[in-house]
Amino acid sequence: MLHIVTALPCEAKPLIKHYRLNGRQAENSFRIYENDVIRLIIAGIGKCAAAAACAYLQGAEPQAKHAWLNLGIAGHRDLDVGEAIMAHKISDASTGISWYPAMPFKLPCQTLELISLDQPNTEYGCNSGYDMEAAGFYSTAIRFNSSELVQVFKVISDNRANPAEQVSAPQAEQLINAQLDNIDVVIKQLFVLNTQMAQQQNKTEIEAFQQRWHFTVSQQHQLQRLLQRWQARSDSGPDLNQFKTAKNSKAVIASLEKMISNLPMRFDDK
Amino acid sequence: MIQTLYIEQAIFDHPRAVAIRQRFPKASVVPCQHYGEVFNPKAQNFRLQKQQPSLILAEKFNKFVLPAPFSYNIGGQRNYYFSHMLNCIYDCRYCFLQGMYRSANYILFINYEDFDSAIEQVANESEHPAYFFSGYDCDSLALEPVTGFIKHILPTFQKLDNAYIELRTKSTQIRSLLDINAMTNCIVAFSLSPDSLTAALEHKTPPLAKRLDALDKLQQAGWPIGLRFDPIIYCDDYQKIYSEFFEQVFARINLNQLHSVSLGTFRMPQGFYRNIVKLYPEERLFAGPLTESQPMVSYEAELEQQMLAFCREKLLQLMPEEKLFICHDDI
Repeated sequence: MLHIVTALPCEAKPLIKHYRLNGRQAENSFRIYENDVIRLIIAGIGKCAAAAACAYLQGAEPQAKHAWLNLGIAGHRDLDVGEAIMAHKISDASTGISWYPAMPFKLPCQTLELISLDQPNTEYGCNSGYDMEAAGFYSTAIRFNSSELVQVFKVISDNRANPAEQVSAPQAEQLINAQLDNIDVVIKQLFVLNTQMAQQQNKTEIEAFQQRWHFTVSQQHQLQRLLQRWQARSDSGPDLNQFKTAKNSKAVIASLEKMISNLPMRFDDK
Repeated sequence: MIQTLYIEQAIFDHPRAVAIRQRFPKASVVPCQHYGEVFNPKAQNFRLQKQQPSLILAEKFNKFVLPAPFSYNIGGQRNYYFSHMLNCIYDCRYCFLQGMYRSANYILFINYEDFDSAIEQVANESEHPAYFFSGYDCDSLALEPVTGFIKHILPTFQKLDNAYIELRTKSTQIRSLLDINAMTNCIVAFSLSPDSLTAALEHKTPPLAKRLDALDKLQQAGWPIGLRFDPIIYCDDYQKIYSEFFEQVFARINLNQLHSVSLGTFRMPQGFYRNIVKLYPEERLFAGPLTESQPMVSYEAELEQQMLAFCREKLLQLMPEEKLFICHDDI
C-alpha cells in the first residue's frame, strides 16, 4: 500500500480522480480517499498536520510497512511555475535538522533541497524549494519504513515573479494535474521498491506446521528460517507427511534440519 | 552511473571534489555537513540502495591506518590496512560490507595526502617491513578511473623501502598500473572464484576470464601478483569445481611473478551475517552447512577443515608452499 499525504484538497483532487480513490465515510479526523493500493490523506497545512496525518494512517495498522509520498505545491526563487522537483534533502527551517531521502531509482524530474517553513515566506532565499509540510511528513514517516520508501514530490507553484498569494486552488489543482505522468512514474517506482522490500521479509507459510504442532515464539523464528533455507535449496517445499512420526515441535525442527542438509547444494543451476 | 553526489560542505571546493563533480555533470549535487548524516541513519536498506548507489565525498580526520586482522597476512610481521573508500561497486553476496553498513552508498575520503603521511609514519616507525592492505573496505581498483587514489598513493610507496602495499581487486581497471613501471613492493592481488560461483554470487564483477587477462597483462609488465581464493564456497561438487578452477588459473600464472596465494573458507562475524540474511533470506549461500557460534559464522568445523585441506593439497601441486597463506576466523 502507498500512503500519499497532501496538505490541501486542491492538491489531492487530481490524484483522487486519476487513481479513482473513494472517500472513506465516517472518518471525522482527516479526509481519506483510497483504492486497493493507494490511500490518500488530506492533512491540512503545516508540519504538525503532516506528521499527525502520517501517524494517524500508520496507527491504524502499526505492523504494516507502507510506502510514503508527500505530494503538493512549493515555492522556488526562479524555477518556472509548473516544474516538478523531488527532495534530495529536506531541512526544517526552525530546527536546522536535515534529512536525505535515498532515491535508488530513475528519477523523472530534477531533485533539490526542500526547506520546510513554519510560516509562508516569499523571500525565496537560496536555490531550494520551500514548503510547509515535508519536514513534518518525512521525520514521522521515516519511523515507519526505510528511507528509500519515503519520498517528497512537489510542483512549483510560485516564485519571485509569481508570488504565493496569487496561487488559487484551481491553479494548484491544474499544476498537479499537469504533472500526473511524472507522479505516476514515482508511484510506480515506490510500488516496485515496496514489493522488493516485502520479498526481503520472505515470510514462509508456517501455519500448516503450527496447526499440527505447538511452536514457541523462538521456535517459530527457527521454523521460518529453516523453511527459507529449504526454499533456497529446493524448488519445492517440504511435505507435511514427511513429519508424521514427529511427536513435537522439537522433533519437527530436528527433522527439517536433517532434511535440509540432504538437499542439493549447487550454484550452477541458478 | 552516479545519480546523486553528496559532498561535505568543508571540501565542496577541494580540487578533487571539483574534478569528480565535473565527471558526473548530470548528477544532483547535495551539500551536507558530515557524511554520517547521509550514510549512518538507521532507516536505510542496503539491498534497495544497491540498485542505485550514490557517491559521498568526505574528509577523514583520524584512524587513517589501522592494524590488520590477525589472519590478514601474506608473509609480513606488521600488517595494516587503510580505507580511502567505504563500500564497493560490486555486489558479492558473501561480502561482509553488506552486513556492516546500513547504506550501500560509496564514501570516498578525498584528503589523500593524510593517508600518505600516516603510511609514511607507520612504515618509518616499523622495525620490520610493514604491509599495507588497501582493499579491505572497498575494491582497490574498481573505481580508480574516478578516484585516482592508486595513482596518487603508489609514489608514496616508491619512496618507502620498508613498506609493501597490496591492491586487492576483482576489477580489470589496470591502466593506471600499466602506465608506470612495475613496483616490487606493490602486490596486485586478484580475488578469484570459479565461473559458476562468480555468476551466482559475485554480481556486477568482471568474469573470471577477464580478470585472468588483466592479471596476465600485469604479470607480463613485471608486477608481483597475488591470488586470493577467499572465500572458498561449499557446494556438492566443490572438489571438482575447485580442482578445475585452480588448474585454469595456474595455467596463466608465471610462478616467478607470483608473490602469494591466500586461501580461506566463507566466514563472517555473526552480527553482520544476521543483517545480511535479513536482506537476502532467499540466498542459497546462507542455506548451506553453516554454523553460528560467537563471534563468527562459518562452515561446520569438520567441513571447513576438509575444504581447506583439499584446496591446500591441490594448490601445492601447482605452487610452492612458502607462498601459500591460510586465512582463518577474524575479519
